[in-house]
Amino acid sequence: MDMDCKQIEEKLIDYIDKNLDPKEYDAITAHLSSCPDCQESLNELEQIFKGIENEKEEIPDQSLKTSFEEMLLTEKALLQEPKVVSLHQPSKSNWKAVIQIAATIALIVSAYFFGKQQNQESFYEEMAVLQKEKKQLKQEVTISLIENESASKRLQAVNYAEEFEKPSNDILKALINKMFYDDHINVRLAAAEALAKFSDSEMVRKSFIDALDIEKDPGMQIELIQILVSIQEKRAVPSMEKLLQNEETPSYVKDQVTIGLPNLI
Amino acid sequence: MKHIAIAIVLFITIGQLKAQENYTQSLQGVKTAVIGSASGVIIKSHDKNELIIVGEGRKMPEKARGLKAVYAGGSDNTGYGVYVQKEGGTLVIRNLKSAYTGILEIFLPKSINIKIEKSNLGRIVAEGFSSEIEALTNVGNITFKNVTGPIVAKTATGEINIVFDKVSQSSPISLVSATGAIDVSLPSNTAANLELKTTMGEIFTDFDIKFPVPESDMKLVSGKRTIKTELNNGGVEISLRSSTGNIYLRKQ
Amino acid sequence: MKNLTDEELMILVSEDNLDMMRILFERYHIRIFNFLLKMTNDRDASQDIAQEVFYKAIKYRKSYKKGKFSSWIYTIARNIFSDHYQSKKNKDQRLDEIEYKTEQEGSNGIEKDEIKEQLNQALKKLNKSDRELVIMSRYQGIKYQEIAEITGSTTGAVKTKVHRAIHKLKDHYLQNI
Repeated sequence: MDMDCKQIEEKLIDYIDKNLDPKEYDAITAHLSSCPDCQESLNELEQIFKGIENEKEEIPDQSLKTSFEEMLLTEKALLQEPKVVSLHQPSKSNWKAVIQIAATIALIVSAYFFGKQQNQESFYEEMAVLQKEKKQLKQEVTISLIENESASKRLQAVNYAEEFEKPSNDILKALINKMFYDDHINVRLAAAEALAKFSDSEMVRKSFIDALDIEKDPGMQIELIQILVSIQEKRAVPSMEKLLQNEETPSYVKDQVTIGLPNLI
Repeated sequence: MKHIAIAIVLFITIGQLKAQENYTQSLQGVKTAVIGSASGVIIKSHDKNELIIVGEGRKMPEKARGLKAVYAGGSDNTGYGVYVQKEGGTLVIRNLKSAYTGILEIFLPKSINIKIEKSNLGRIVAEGFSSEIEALTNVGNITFKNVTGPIVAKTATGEINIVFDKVSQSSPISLVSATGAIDVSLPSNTAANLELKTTMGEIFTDFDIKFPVPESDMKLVSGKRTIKTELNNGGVEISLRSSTGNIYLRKQ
Repeated sequence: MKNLTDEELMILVSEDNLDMMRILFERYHIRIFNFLLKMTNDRDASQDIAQEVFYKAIKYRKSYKKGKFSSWIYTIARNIFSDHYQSKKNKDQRLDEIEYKTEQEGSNGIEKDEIKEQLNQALKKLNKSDRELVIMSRYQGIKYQEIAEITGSTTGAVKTKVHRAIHKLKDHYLQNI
């Protein structure tokens, strides 16, 4: 088989990759042994391939995995959406949210696959829709995460809840429930702290008063006293006085009452 | 019935023969270990996917030869004074020995999640875990070394001492003590949203917290009850709270 | 579950078993990230785009039609990548005008490999589609047939183009030395 250098050059990559039939391969081997130019060309290619081979894969930052997990959690919560809703009271607004989300997704899918002529403007519209969708999702994620068996995950849900400007009643109820009943004081404290941000809700204010009335843990008592003083809740005065009179109340809790009480009377 | 009888005989035999060796159980499919103990608990990590209960030091009294120890807290199905039961992905480990006689010392795999429930007296020690740990105790100290979190821990009167190898960013860390001190060491490059709160205690740290503070090596940054700050541009939530104890936050 | 093929896993995902995506993520995220990193030379952008790739893979799971999973995920990656560098010009033109960051930021290796740097310089001089072909074929070891699936071309045409692109790369590379 006779080939000129041009033809050889074109086959060098296949030659290196052993992508040729044996006859061609042997012919090129023979040519190379007698043609320094082609041999050099081969060496150059091999050098480049070697360089590429030697390049190490870069490892992405851990945050890629973390955000993936977060996203997965969100998507899973979205899937469970109808179940979550049926567990709580079936409220119409929630269903509306689901349908809205479904509609947005449909919109984005169609835009993505068929809207090849997408312009900047529709891109921003899409972003705005996504932002809205994200907020609705976050509420659902919070509700489902707050019952997680991991205390740390429950804390995360409480932190999420704290970020809402106007949380739904479902979220407030979930937080109040955590403040009263969570197995971990850590979660109960965090829930109380989060609720303090939403003290313009009467339901929330009332829950603080009730909580102080029955609370046994000194740490929680202190937290509740500080909150009730800071939100100027005068209806808590009897509970606080009761704490002062109770012999079992630790002295450092009594101190908090003594400091706080004058601000309420 | 026969099987149960055999099992019981087996357990008794194991109890007698191996009382001074270690008890081992495979943890295939187990993600979380739930531990209950009235006395202290020491948990160490190892690379095997199994539970080891350290039997050393547990010698049967001479007079107990041929007898089996019985406990109020439940059946001793290991012969080590410990009740062990797999329930789905959870392994329940209950120390049956009284608060005065027996510290529970066990080995668990590095990555298993651990929940220690209501250990009333006695300390809780855990070392070398890259998993989630929850711990609740009344009187004892909580000491964790070479851990990553997430950690949720509470003690009423004990101290909490934790040395983090690095800090997992996956979900929050929360440490609460009523009257004991909280002493935490973090790698200096830890990214976190930090919340430090003490009612009567003081806060000490050598981290650079953005507050005008008097000069000294370990700075006193109290006066304000709650300090919220970002470490290394923010990251996972770390909350340290003590009612009357001091908080020490150290760079390492 | 870890013994399942990519395609079997993705079918499960498309049936709303979303946890299976975690295994696919483990199998593919480093590869996809490196593909994007070579295309952009920008770690942050590559992280962001890689993140979006898996987000879209979940969002559009119902559109997965039992084809080769790797081709499908690369198709998504290419689409998002193009969107990110979209300009008002028509697609083919704008693809060639991608800004390629000249300074590699946050690279892990402290001692910068000479050959690697030269290759990066040469790669940068290729137009976008040649660069993409070289990256897929040589850096990522994807077969011609699969590149054809991803780019919507034929195996023969891809092979010819890849060879041509490698020779161009070689010329740029030699000029630099």
